[in-house]
Amino acid sequence: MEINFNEQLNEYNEFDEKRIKNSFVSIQDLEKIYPNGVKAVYDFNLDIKHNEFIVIVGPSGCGKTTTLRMIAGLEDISSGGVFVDEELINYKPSKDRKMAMVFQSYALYPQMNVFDNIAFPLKINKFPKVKIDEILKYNNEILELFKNSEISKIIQVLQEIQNKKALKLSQNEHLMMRLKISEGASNVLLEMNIKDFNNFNNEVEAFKNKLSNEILNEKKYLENNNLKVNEQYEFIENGEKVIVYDKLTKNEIKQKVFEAAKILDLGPYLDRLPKELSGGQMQRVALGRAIVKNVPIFLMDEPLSNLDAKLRLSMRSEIVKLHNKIKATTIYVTHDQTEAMTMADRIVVMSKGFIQQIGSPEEVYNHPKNLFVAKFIGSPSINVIEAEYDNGNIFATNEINFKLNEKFISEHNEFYDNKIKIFEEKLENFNTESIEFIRKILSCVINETNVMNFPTKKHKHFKRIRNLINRNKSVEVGIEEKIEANRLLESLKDARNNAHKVYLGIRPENVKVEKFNQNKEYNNAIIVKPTVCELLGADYLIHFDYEGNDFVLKTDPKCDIKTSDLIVINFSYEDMLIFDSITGDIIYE
Amino acid sequence: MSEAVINRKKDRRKEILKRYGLAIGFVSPFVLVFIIFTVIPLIMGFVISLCKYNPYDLESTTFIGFSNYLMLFGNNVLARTFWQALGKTLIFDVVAVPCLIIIPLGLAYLINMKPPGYKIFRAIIYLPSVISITIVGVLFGAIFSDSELGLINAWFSSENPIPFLSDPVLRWTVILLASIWWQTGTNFIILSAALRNVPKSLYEACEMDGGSRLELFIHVTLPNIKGSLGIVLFNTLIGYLNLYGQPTVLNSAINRNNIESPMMLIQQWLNSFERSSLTGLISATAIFFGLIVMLFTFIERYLMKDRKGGSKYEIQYKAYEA
Amino acid sequence: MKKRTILICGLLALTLASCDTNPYDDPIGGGGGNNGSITDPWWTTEGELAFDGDGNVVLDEVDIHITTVVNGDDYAKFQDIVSDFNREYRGQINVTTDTVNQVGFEQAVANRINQNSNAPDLIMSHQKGHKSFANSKLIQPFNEIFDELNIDFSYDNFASNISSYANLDYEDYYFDVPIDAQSMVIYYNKDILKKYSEDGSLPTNREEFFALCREAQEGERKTNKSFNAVALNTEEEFFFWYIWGTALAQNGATFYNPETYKVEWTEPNNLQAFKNALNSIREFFYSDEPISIYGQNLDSTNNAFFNDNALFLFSLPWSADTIFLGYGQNHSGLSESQIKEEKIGAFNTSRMFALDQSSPNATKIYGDSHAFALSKTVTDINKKAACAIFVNYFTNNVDVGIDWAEAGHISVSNAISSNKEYQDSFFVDNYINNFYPNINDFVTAGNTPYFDVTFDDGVYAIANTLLREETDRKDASTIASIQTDVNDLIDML
Repeated sequence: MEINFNEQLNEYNEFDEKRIKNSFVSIQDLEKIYPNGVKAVYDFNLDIKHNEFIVIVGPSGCGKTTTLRMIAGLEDISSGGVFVDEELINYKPSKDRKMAMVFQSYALYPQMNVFDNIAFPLKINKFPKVKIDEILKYNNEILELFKNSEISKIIQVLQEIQNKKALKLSQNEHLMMRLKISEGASNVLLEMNIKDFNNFNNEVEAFKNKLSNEILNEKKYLENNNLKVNEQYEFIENGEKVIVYDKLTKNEIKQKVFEAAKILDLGPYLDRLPKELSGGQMQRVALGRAIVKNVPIFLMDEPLSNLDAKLRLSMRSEIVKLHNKIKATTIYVTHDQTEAMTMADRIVVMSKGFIQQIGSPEEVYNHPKNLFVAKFIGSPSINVIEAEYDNGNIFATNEINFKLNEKFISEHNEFYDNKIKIFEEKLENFNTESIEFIRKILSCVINETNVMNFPTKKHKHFKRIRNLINRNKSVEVGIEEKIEANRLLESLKDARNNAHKVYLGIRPENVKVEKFNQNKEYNNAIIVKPTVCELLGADYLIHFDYEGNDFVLKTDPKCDIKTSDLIVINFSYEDMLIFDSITGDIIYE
Repeated sequence: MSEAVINRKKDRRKEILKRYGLAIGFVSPFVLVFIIFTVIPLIMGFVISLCKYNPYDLESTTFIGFSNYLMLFGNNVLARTFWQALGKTLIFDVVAVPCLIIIPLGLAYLINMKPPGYKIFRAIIYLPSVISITIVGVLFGAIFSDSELGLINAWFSSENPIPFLSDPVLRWTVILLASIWWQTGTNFIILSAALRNVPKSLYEACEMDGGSRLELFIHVTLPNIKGSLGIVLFNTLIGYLNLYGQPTVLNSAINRNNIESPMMLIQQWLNSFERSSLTGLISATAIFFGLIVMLFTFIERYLMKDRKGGSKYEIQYKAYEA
Repeated sequence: MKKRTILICGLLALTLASCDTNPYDDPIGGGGGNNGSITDPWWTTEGELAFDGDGNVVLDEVDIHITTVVNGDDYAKFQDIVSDFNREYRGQINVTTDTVNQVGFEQAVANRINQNSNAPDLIMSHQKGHKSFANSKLIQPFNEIFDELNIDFSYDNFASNISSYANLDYEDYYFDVPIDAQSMVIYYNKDILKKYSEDGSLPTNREEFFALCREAQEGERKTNKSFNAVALNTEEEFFFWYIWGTALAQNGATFYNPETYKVEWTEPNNLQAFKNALNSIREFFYSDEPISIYGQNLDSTNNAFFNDNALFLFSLPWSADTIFLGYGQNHSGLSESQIKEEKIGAFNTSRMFALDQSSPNATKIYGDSHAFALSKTVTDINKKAACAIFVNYFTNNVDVGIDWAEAGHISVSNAISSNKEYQDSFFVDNYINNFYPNINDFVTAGNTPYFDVTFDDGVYAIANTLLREETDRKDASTIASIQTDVNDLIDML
């Protein structure tokens, strides 16, 4: 029963048709609410093109795995839609979604060896095949073979297969390989029981006659039943090829598995059970199982987290190489920002169920949209300094202060005006959307006092009934958010006009350092002693304390600074990012 | 021996006592009871089985080697009764043991889906296994009694009460029902725990690969509970080869002397005063029967063993690569 | 390697030792005891008796313990008799008792005596099991102690059939002192009987019995659909022991060969006797007009009788009180004496199963007989004396006889049974004499050391299997196969 989802699509006017048409995978307004009221994913929107490598990254509990599972079909979608190739797949079972998934725990079947593990999806599924008339096709193929090849070669091959035990492959495979014929044809050839090789020619003639007779009978049969075939002996009905769903033959499965094994270099391990494999090998088997399905979309759920550091590095590049080779669209979930930065075409940064930013690695690193993204991406993480903004003057400490020019000041004012306007709009019409808006803002603020502990709709059964009865009592959710919204609005208004707090962010590699030279003159420079010096081989991280904050800077290992030395720190103000302390969004850089 | 050596020995003994003293203390009651009530009687039984032995006439004990065991293969009343009883028990087992594994497995599978009230169901399923066989016998004897006063017969109150306990087929059915009711609980608990330990991600992987519900069960659930299934099968098999309680207790008075399982044979003949001169023979029967049970369990263990893969695919792959 | 070779050598040695394929191929008669004479007595006597001036023995606080097989109501009666005895012999003898169920009596008591742990001094149980006790040297004869006490004891003083077995085939040895006899008896409803029989007279042979029953059924079923003339409990062992045994005895069957102890049921005459016995019982249940239902148990048969749904109730003599009580409960307004005298009567199974009424076997009744035996563990002569005195008391005292009769057991001691007081007592007069018309026609199983094998697994098993068959098609083959098994086992023992 084929439901035409596209018809349903026209009913759902809420989805953006242009986005659906222009991308391969379109995820629109995807949300997940659990039965106990907890909302895990808010308003996830993403359009993926063919062959793109998307990485969804974020700290634990940010909703990235939930999103992936919703796309895969392992979780129910509460609202929103996922479109693959212009088709709505919300209600399709997982196996019909044309996706393959690689799990964090590999999820290999422990009782099967590697070959069976990879072959499993091929064995239990039926695949569409063009229906061909086997008798016509294969008999003709054999007749061709006899016509074109040398009889001596055929005799030799047939003699080879007499000794079953000495063969490495099965009889079928041997014939296929040596005579370069298809599987069906080799089956037909095996029917020829040669009793006496000396009398070969006669036997061949008899066999050829038998095949020809079969062909004639078949043609008659087709005529009688009004069935048509084309030149490749495929059945045609109404001008189109007839497609049947059938299981693959053993040889076809074997071919596919061997192909996958070749790509992943799993040849020597094909007979082993999963418990006899190492982590990296198991990972490759899981990848193999995904490859062999021949689907356009791969989903990967933190596949490298169970591996050791070195293996992780090598597997990272393997996965990227694999992606380039297979050319499948990949959605990859991880909590490791290094993986995100190195593997992705685009990164989706999530926190607390909200998308914080979508962009290429370069964008996300150099132009973070808010403080959370800035802190999350980059290792070691960005240094954040509190500062005071007063009409263009930014003052953090005696040594860190500078003045912004007019352009920046007006940008600053615009920024706050916009924000105030948005807040006022939301507060006027304080509905669920507004609640979520506030939650999103709060999802990235550093302050831990604003931890997300909103009362959720935990309606116990009786409470729900009671609420039905007392309709006067409104749901108590959202009161906290409203208070918070008001408070934020006040702070914003205050910030617009008065001096207010801002956060300055500077990446470790943008902090200039040099050894303290007694003879040199330093104006307003910070002179400190490092607390920890970490040599990473190619980089040198120096930690130091300043005004109660812990800073990290990255520099060349060639400058030999030790913890006993004094160092001079210089922040380059051009590279600084300025964040609003109230909402966390970046003001400018 | 020199002073030093003696001291060292004393110290070693003290050390061993200190380290293992507590453990030895805890284990010793059981070990003692085990030796007195299991090991020594076993050895005595084996020795008796090699002799002609009459507890009322100890002077006539003679050593006759394996002749007692050979009697089991001759054409005499003991051999006939024994092999007949063994046959009856095996036929019953072929039906009962699968029931006692499939029904708990099914129940465990259903309960694992956590329907509302599943905790109550769990308790109800397990409860019957805490009572003893005699009580089961009294209960089922009353329900399925032959007379018209039996609970089922009284309910249908017909002219001819159904002879539940006298008719051979019906009787074994009643025994089967009683066994299932009584012993589903223990197997259920073990299988339920095993089912819960199947990693969820495997189910999801199979679902994504395209497995239907049945395929999920065959390829994911069953292989992952194989260990527990093996244990359950092992215990049930041994228990039901040694079938004794149920046929004895669920018996009508007139069938009292029918021997339907080898264990019944051994018990009845041993407890019969007139057959006391055959004690050696019966011991031999008991030991032989024990060996048969061991044979069954060895077969079961062998079939359930994990096997290592061969290397056929490796070879084929090499050929493919070439 | 070494361990394995030792193991293999051991096994080989064992197999070599086992050259005898059937080590139990003993000559007939089995282990233990020679028949006829005792050359090597297995009992001892210690101590001396004290006598007073008149030649009576003087005992001082001797304790003896009796293990008996009766239980239930008759055990209470037994204990009453014992306390009477204790009162009479206070200071001299004190008797304590305990009871063991008949189903495992031989095994349990044999164990106790063999290991001399908690062994009784006197046992009072079914005479059928005493031969194997004697063969296993567990009991000793009374001869010596009777001599010492000058008790004039002779088996002629007891009912002929029963006493013929009492020496357990050891000539001149008094192993058993017979006490009583019991078999299955019939109670009947006098009111219903009066309706269908002139003057309420009872049928005198089998045909009359069946005619009366069928007539009664026809008549009663007009108003009472669930009426069956005969309420016969086929679920208890007594059915096989007593009814089946009586049927066999009345048709002239031989249970076993008294010399070889083997069974010869397939011998043509014997086989015919068995078939006749089977068919005689089958007619009760499976004929065109059955007068009873097979498969009823104690409760349903009793209830049928109590509710006037049956004319004849086959039951046991010691259940008399229970039956009177039960009948009274369903007929409130009647006193117990009214029930005993006017409502319920006693009848017996003589001639009930004989297909050939002219044969001398037709009047036989088959049952059990209780007897006293002295355990071999008694060595002190004072204890032996006490036992002997008790045994003598029990089998000669008329009051004891009457009490024991009211418990349902007819005395086989001539001293009691010919006593006028005994004869005139109510229960004996109205019930016991009707239960057992002629005590000399009473037969028991006799002295086979293989009672269990011959009867439980043999004779009774035949009935168990074949009485469920409505025809005698399978009779011959079943009897033959059971006979093979029984004889095989007897060979081995």
